[in-house]
Amino acid sequence: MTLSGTTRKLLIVIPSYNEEANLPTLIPAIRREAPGADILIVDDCSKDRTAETARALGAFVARHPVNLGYGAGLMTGYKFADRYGYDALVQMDGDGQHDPASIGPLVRALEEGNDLVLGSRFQPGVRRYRAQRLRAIGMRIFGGIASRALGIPISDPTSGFQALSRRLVTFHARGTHFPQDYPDADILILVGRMGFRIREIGVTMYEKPGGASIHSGWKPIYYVFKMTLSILLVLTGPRREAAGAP
Amino acid sequence: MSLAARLFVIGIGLVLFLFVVRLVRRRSMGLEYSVLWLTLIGVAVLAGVAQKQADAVSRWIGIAYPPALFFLLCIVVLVAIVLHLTVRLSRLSEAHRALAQEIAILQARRDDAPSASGDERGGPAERDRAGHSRQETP
Repeated sequence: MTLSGTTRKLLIVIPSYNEEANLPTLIPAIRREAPGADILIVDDCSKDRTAETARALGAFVARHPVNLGYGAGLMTGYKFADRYGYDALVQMDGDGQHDPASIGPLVRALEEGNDLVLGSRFQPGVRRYRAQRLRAIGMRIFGGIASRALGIPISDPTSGFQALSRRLVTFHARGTHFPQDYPDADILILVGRMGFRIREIGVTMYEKPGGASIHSGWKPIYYVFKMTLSILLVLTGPRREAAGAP
Repeated sequence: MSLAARLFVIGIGLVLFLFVVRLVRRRSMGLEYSVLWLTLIGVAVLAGVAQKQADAVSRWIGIAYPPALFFLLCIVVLVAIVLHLTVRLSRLSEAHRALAQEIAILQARRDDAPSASGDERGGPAERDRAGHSRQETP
């Protein structure tokens, strides 16, 4: 099981916004797959009873007093894990897109000496996932840039299903670089340039049950512009070995 | 410039001046910003009233159409103010985000803390291992 190796304290972070309906299936499923792990629901000021539901299911709940965005929710999880000394962290979405069965493989890949294990929906041997066309194009382009910058193949730079080492959690939690909206290829490249080890493995993902994707409407244009700028900033920024590298 | 035009310029300046002073009084504007705005208003009124001198400055710099200098200065100052405000806004959002996250984390801890234990150092994970506070779902 997940906690077999060197990971003694694992935190599962789930940034959530109005996920009241999904949590009663998700949290028990995570418990089955990762019995020793703590679960932290970061409630981004939901309008429904996300926090109460999560608390009743025995999860830790950190509720933002105002809506801050997906990236800020992750960051709250990193700060929590950093403060309470967790050995590793798995982040996943609360909408049922990410299959808890993939937590084990993610953590095992982390224990092989990686700092960031990216769960990709496009790796061979896993359930096929059909992305929307615009989204797919964006992933292709920025995944390609990330692959070249990092020297390893990245097929799914926007994946929210990831495992992070304690070192990397601390780097994010105490830095000012993490975006408030959506971390993407820019953060991957930054992490790689800072000397952290990144690996991508295949995970099972389901298409979003309803709900608009973050990349819809006029947003793709803004997204492409922002991401290009951010990647350029990262690529022209400092490069150094990760602090506290083994 | 006719007398009427001058009175008009002075009038606008006076209204803006009083408005800014009122904002400061109500604490709707920080004193440091009021200095910026009052200076801008003062310079604009002065340039409107002391037209000959303003024109002389323009010619001295080599601007063919004297009023253009006035517009140029206004635009430069306004851009500077907006840039400054953007920087302030970014810093404030950062601080605001950090505060909200801190509240969320403290709240998470308070909600789950075992009431009897006064242990300040052990976080949720510590308590878990000690077998205190968590109920596992079957």
